[in-house]
Amino acid sequence: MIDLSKLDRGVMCREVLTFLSAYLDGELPPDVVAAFDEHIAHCESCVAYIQSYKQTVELGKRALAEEEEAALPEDLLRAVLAARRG
Amino acid sequence: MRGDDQLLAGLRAGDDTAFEELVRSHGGRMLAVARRLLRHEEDARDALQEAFASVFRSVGDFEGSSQLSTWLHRIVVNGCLMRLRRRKVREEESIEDLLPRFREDGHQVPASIVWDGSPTEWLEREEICGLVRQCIDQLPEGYRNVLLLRDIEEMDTRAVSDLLGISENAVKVRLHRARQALRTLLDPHLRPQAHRGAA
Repeated sequence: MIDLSKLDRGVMCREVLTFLSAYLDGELPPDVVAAFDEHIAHCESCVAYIQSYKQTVELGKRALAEEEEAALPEDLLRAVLAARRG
Repeated sequence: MRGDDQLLAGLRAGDDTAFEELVRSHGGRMLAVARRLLRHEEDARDALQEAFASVFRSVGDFEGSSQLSTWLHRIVVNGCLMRLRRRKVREEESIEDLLPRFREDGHQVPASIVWDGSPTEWLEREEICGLVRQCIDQLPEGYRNVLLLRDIEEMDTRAVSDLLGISENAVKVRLHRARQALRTLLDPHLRPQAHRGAA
């Protein structure tokens, strides 16, 4: 996990993007969250990255949900039931 | 349509109509799960048949501590993962090239740019749906599987950790890297026109 005392230059994009998932999930300690918030408040690149990261997750979920199930093809249904009867 | 308890009682009693109802009500969704994981129609159909065969054999052992659909989903996913393990013949590709890059001082390079539009607008375009699926398929398999199981199948970290035989922390790291890699693959297509080709 991240140790702020070892970061001479403070929190930069590297730390924010590496621990972004833990940051968004609320898994980081308060002092780290405060340091991340401060960096993000002044970093357009991190703001853009975080927005597109969230959009990526949403896109993945919704694009695959679009190909969600149709009814099971009748031939496959018959094959599954026939296999049970042996 | 019977509730879970009634359906389970029918399955345990060997009632043919209960088995048919189970396959009819859950088969389509389970086939979609197998297709997503295996990306091969014949394999997906075979995996589904095997999964139902396993359900028919072991329904007597099902304790009912989870929903019938959750139990069935787990059996299908497990069968698909076993098939993927058997299929694996080459070393997994590295994901490093798809992760963000940084300068010595810790700044991201190149800097990120806000994308043009919103998921709702993009998904109205059929080619974007196809592109997202194509990009997910390009992820190295170990990362793709975690992304599918966590973000798409909505299994929790512990369940994925159990299924894949890796630690919960490894699941979290793989999920984050998979999302980052997917973002990198989508970025050239979704950044504003004026910035395309500039990544």
